[in-house]
Amino acid sequence: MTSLLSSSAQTGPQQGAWVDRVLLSGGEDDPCLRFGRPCDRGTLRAQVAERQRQLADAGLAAGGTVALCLPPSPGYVATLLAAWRLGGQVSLLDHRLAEAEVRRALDRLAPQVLVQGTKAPGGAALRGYADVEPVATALRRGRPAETGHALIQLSSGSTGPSKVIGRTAADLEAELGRYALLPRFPRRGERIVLLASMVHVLGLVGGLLHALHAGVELVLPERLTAAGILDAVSWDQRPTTVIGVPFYAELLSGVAQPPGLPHFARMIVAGELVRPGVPAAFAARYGVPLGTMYGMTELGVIATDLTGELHPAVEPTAGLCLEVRDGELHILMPASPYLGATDPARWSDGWLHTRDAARAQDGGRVVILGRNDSQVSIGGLKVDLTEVEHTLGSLPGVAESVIVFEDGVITAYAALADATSAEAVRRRLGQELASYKQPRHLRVLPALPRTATGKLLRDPAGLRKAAEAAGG
Amino acid sequence: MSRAPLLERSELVEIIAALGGRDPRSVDETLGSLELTWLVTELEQRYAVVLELSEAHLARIATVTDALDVLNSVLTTAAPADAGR
Repeated sequence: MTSLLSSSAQTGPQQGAWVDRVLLSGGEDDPCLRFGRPCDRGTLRAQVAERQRQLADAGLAAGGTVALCLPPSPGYVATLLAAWRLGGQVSLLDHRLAEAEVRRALDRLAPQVLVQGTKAPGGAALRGYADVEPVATALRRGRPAETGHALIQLSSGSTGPSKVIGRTAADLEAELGRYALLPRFPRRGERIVLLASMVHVLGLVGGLLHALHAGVELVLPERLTAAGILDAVSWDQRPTTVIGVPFYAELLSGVAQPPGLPHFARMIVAGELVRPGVPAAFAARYGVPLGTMYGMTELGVIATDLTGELHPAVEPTAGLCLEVRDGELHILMPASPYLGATDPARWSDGWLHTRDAARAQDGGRVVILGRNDSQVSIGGLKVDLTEVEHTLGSLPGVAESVIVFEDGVITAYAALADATSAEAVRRRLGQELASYKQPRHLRVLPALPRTATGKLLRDPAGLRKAAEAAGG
Repeated sequence: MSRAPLLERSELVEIIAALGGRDPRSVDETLGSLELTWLVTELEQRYAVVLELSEAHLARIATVTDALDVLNSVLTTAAPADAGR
């Protein structure tokens, strides 16, 4: 694996010229971002230069490492581009992670510089962006980059700690090339209203980086309610595509009398499966298609149906080779995307094992059926149930625990030591896990039910019955 | 626009249940952030208002009961949806 990482290092960004060429070129007055106020390319370039000075002052240099833990904001965009421009390796941490999770991530990644903002406002659930001032801090125990990856992301692993995924500048550029070849994806002179997180691959590459690369204006709505989103669509006469997770398609489908939106081109969703009936309801409500995309942190966009006509099938994007083997989707990928030891169950012999169940169709299309492992999606954010169970099981006073996912929510069943209250367990869990990963219910039983062979019962119906019998 | 009447708990639960087409009896007391977004959207439509929830408001909403309290209080002072556009 070392040799593969080394080979990807050779194509990595020793300095950040690719940022100017791929993302920042264009006329001074070209509109590019809109976080409340419009921002043109000239302004963005000036902001990037300013952040570059801030990062350099904190000690970041070519081949150095920096972790960003910022909410979606102008400061996040400028800092990300500035770090890449300096030739830095950037780790992106979701600003919603609990402090303990950020600490663990920093221990693992050992960045030389950490950039955080003023605390995101509590209204984040309803806000499309935040206004924070990034603050760069040098970390004493940070290490320079060991690989040439420009981007490092953490993804929930089904066993043990998160997987560390690296992507080179060349790999990101290749993904932008795939987007550019999609005939119905927003292009120069159009707009994207982005509802997806800019830290995760869909919002980052499909939203932010594509917009910068292709000359599309990226708009973040002030409010993430239906009225706020439709407001952002209606502001402007240019063709507009909304990109987000399926929840927002459902939210918009529920609007009884939407305003006339002649420039609304389509909505594209990704991150989890779309519920049956939603594409038809959306198209009936707005007269535009609900497209879908399938992608992974490891590779970015993999397959799409931007017309809504292939649903539930998706078509591979240019240059990707997909194969369904024993019901699991595999994708040709010459080098492992993982830093450190690669689990052969995730990548082997040049193939990425997606752990998504899929069905092949004629003509190379595939239908994604859902996860084969313990990963679930909560509002488009990936949560690994094993991680939640492991965290709960490690808390003092928790004797045994099982986590299940049913009807879209995470439920925990636990047996607690005598002196431990459910409230105390909840409180500790809140310190250890981001809120979207926390179980919606914690049901306490004297002892967890077991199968005839003595294993912990994991069947949700059986667990529910046991909890009811115990009055929990 | 007439002032929004006080919301009943059953109405609130019905609105939440419409997300994902669930049975109202299966709606939990704990409220998720997506459910809250859904609720605010539905109430804004129903009463043609903009519900500006502050940080302090949001910090108080963890359950259906909290939402009933806070939303009823915010609804009484909410601005009409077309104000300021």
